[in-house]
Amino acid sequence: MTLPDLEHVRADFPALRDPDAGPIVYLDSAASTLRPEQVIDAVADYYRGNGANIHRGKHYLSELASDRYENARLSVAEFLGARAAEVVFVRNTTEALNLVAGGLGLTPADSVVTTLDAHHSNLLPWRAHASVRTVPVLPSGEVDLDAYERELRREPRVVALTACSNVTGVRPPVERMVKQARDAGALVVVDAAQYVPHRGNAFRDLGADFIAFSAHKMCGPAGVGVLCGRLEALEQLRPTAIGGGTVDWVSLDETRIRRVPHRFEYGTPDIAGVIGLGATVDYLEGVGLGELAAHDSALARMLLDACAASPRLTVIGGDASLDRSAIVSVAIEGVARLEHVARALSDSYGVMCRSGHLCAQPLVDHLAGGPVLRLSAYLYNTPTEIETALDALEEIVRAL
Amino acid sequence: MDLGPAGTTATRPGQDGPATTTPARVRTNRLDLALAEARYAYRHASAYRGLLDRAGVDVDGLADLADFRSLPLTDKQFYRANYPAGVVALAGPLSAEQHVLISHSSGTGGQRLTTAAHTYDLARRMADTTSVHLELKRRLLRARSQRIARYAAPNCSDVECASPLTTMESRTLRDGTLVLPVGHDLLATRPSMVEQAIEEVGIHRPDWFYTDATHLAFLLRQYRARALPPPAVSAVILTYTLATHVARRQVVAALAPAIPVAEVVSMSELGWVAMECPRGVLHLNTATFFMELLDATAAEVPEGGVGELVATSLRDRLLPHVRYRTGDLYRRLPPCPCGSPFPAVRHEGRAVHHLALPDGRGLSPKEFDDLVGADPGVVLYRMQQRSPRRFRFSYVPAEGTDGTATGAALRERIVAALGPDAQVEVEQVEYIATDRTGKFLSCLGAGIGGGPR
Repeated sequence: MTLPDLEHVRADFPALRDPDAGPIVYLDSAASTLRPEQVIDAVADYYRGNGANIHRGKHYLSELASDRYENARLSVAEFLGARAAEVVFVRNTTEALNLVAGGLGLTPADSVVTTLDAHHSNLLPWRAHASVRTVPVLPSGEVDLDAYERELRREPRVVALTACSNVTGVRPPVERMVKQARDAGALVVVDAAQYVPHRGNAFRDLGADFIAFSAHKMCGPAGVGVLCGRLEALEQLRPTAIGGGTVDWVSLDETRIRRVPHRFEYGTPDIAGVIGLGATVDYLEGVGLGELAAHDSALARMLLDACAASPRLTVIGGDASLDRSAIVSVAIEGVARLEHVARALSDSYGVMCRSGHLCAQPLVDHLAGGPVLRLSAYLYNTPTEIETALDALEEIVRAL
Repeated sequence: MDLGPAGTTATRPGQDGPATTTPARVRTNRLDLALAEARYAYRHASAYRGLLDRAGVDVDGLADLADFRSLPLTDKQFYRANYPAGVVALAGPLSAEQHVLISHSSGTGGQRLTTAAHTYDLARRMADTTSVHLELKRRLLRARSQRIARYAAPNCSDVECASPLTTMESRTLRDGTLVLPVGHDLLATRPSMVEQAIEEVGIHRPDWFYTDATHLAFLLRQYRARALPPPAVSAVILTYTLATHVARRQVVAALAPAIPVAEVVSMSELGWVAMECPRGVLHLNTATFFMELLDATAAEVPEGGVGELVATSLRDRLLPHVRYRTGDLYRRLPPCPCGSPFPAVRHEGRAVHHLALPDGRGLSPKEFDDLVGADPGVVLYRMQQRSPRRFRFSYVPAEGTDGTATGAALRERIVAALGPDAQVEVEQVEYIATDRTGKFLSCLGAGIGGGPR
């Protein structure tokens, strides 16, 4: 992405020009991104000019809302390289993964393989339904692929992978790992929450049975996410919640469930959120998926180099040879209370970033032995902002 | 420029074929009928009366073309907002009227409409429109049972044909048309639904197809994949959406050579309004409509110019349309050598679907389709403008062809046509989603999408 385009993109994000807050450097996009005007408008336009329910009535507003909702499904499917019927709207990645874990009819006798770089949302749902075995992550940040192959030889029923770590930013070779798992006869689920925001055609390229992600990590509304699954895989799932919107016919003693994907979208969904997600993928497509990926790679390199050059920072899983997104977590020598650092970065320098265990406590404890500070960038961040953030961090560390 | 007959003959309302008359007389006659239509609508349709009163039109003083041009334009929004009470020109309830067809259209642009028409008016418009292709008309009239098969977007029919729960009986319209089952997302239509459609064609034995070109091309590919002979019909009418060259190539190649295939422009609210002659040139039905092609200033476009089709129904005593903006853009062509008295035009598509090129030029869906042509390496494509400079062309390659070479050749043609500032992405795919309405739109222009501002 060239700098003129980047300035164009930045102009779309009102939070970056809030006169009360002053200039900010937003480096917490791995938690939630900022939103462009186009997405805000799409959400607000629904509430302002419509507000009707979908798929329920024949009045004009309902039909209009239904059209926009279903058009969003088409846009998302195209963005993922999937078919429209393979896109299920849910609340977030966590709900998507729970839907799969709870819908497969797993028992403690079933084995599920996951990896240590998993977010809690790709670990706890499996623990709740099956026996989980975890593949370790090496100090470099790399998933131990030898251990992974050993686990596959045990013929697990499900393999739950993470396409990009929300702690290290490392992207393991998921396409290869998916193929290996499928060859081993496992159903493959991929948490793509940190992957989809930076890469188009994720479903087609990763080749998994299911992928899950959230809109709020890609400039979309909070409260809406996607489970994208092969049709035959979705057909295997038993809906974890049923009621209005999930059935074609109900009599006193018979229920005929709706086809995929509607059988999973129970009750009234977040209509505005889904419409906003449609606007989100249109926005990202407008930016250009190639440019998006290139910008992510450039910022990743910049973040990693800047942190590695700072003597008191230790990058977690910082092997520079690994494929990674613009997410870096660091431990700071001599500073235990990283929340104080995060607070000072925010209040004194306008730099927003995250501290803690990042909902991946097993990995963070394993690699860092305690909480970390995370800086994560997205399409609106500039090289200058990375420098500003690191300069501020240096000053704070010196002062603390 | 008046869109009157180009020659010395014209098809008149209620007649089966051309009748000898003079252009001036025909023009006057049609203008008189159009003015009469406005007066009738004013007297019998309260919403139209209100519209003219607000515009200060003296309906009894309407006498010539200039007066007609002073009438305000109407549009889909007007008819949707006032149906039925304000636009149906009946003294009593609609339910008491005989021979009425009520239809619900989802609209290509997502603008739905409920409308009503006398079936004999629709038949008359159809008969007049088909007069530009006498062989096809002969085949339609000669059909033994008027059994028609419709294969198109499910929302285009007043039946639910995308549900696996429906039966042939529930999908057979009053005029004998069987609406075949199809998925909302055409390429994702389940194999069981394809089998059902093929089986029903065998049972129904349609005389002719009334179909979307892309849908029929898909169905015929399914016949070929199953090593089945194509349906034995006597004619094919392509309608609903732009019949792309690649879809038409597949339809023509699959059917017997003698079977006439022609594109028709039809609208729920007006019926058949235009049809291709045997030379493949589209002709507007100016016998049962008073047609205008207007530019942005509401002036008639000259030959070679592009304007929006504005239609006035003639002698419609149920739901008259006066100076009705259809939303479709047409290019006015020179007189066609086929000899039809109906004006020759080219359907350029809807304004919202035009590509807005970085150098300021526009490219219509029809112009873009000409660029792709009947490429034998392509079975389906979609051009989508993602931002002011960014364009994505997706195509499904034909079986047994070199998809990569096809893509490279297409890229070359597209880049040359769109100009050096356009960023063109050419993508070979196995699947392209159908629009939410169930219609497959091959070209989506700058009006769609929401990239950086």
